[in-house]
Amino acid sequence: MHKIALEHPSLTSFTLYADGAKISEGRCCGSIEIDLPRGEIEVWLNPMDKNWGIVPRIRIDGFLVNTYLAGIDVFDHMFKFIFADDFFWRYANMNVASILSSVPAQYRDDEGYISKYFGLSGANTDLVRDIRLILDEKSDFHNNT
Amino acid sequence: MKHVDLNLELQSQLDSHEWQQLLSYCELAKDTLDDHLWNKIAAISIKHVRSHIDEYTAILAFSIFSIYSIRIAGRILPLMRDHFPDLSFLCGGNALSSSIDGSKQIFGEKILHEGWAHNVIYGEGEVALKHFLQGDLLHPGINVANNQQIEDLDSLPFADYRGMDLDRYSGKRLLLTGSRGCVRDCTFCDIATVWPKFRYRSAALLVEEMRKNFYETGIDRFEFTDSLINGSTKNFRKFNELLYDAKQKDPALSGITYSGQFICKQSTNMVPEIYELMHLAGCKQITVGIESFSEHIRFHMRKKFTNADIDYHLEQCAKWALPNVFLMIIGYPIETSEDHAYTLDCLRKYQRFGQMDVISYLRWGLTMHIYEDTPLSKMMDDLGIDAGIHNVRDGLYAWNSILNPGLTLQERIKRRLEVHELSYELGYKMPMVNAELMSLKALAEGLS
Repeated sequence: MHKIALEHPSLTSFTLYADGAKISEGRCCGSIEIDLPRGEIEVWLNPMDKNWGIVPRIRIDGFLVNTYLAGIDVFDHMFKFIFADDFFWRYANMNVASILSSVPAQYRDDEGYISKYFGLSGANTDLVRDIRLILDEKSDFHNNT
Repeated sequence: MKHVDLNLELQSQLDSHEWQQLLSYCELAKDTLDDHLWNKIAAISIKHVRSHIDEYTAILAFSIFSIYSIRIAGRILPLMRDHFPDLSFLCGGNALSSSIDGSKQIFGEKILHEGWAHNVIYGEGEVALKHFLQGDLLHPGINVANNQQIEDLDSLPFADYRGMDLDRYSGKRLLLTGSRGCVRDCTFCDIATVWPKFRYRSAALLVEEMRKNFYETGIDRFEFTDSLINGSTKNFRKFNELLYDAKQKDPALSGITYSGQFICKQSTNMVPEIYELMHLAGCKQITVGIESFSEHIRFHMRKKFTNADIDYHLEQCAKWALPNVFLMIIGYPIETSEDHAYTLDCLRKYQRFGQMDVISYLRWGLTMHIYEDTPLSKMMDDLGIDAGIHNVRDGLYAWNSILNPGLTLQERIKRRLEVHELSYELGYKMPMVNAELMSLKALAEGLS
């Protein structure tokens, strides 16, 4: 089972819903870690002194998440997001999209720049194949001499 | 004092193919440089140096950074001497202390011997340069490789970036030096020849330098030049505490971030609170020399951390969203096919850390090459390594080991391609892939 952890000094209690069904609720003192089912997740928060608007640190399976990349919508009293099997891939893809959107306009089509500074490169399949061909040729030459 | 950044000028004026050719030549992956390209490099270099020279210019000083700068420096220096015969030439930088041509001669000696410069400064330049300018040529490190390491880094002035056109640099950031030297003595690394002892600056001065340079330039991204920012765990912790504290007191500093090279340590040393402090202080990226996922290889390298230490480190970085760049080496002399298979397994095992940007980048480099002056270069007999007759000089890619005969350069390149393919498939980000593969291709073409 996946886990979600919440952390904020004002957090006093929570309720977690998945696809509209209440899954768990309880009191806590600043932090809590609970099971995270798949589905459309809503976590309702009760802060100390009804000090609404807190944004707790959210960790999923131990990873502190960026709420934007995780697709988490944050409201004053709750946050919600979709948790599915492809959550981690979607997070990675959102990160890549976010990186690409930050590339200065003059470099948007510059693959070398994007590769060098952002680590986003293609598979370079042709180049890999070329290198393998060279290695094979050298190997054949070596074997025949 | 005026400065020219030849790297910047060349990169901005060469096309990507030309730049790649130059890179392969400098990285020793290719032994020749096309005449047309060299003529272009020479013209760009002369033009930009000439544009900074006036009637008051007396000295042309060259900073030659690393072993990868040696080849091109060996061509640019004589060119400059021919074009500016009336000026005094001075060279410095780490590359001067590197051995060349597999001989005992170091590059600084060659520069003097060939008459490419009138004077050289070995080792750290801050104090020696001052003596040089005062006419004291007998100061240690000037023209003789008897340089002494600066004991008190806190006595040096802060870096000053005023007057630099920082807008011309991509990923605008300021460099900061927190330490010199390393607390390890890794077999593949020659840092100990430059800085035999690990020396670090006080945490308070580092934060003060960040504050000063932020207010002078408006740039809030800092990158440490250190071999490792957590060599002294105690000082590193203090630095993070002070930076976080400074941000609390002065909200203008809140956007300051830092990145740097980092060593994976035991959990008893790098306790969880330090990772939290890194997050709070604004650590945006750490570059970690994991080098190999196989523990026995890392211990041979003298890296001194276990697989459990890597897991702990990643767990803490995940907890505080600290992105890592993992530096890796393919084909260390004792690497077996089982080790390689384990590398591939670990890529799968750590995939989620890649997806969540905790392993933000993987850097595979080319393949294992053995520098002169590294501990490994002195262990070649023990490892049964034969450097062969390959005409690549200092960076020996083409070695073989009679104790590990299956690990030929051909095999190392094959393994390198396999990690590239799997890393890509698993979604890891890898900078400069095309450039590295082009250099690998050049290496493959050079196979006998």
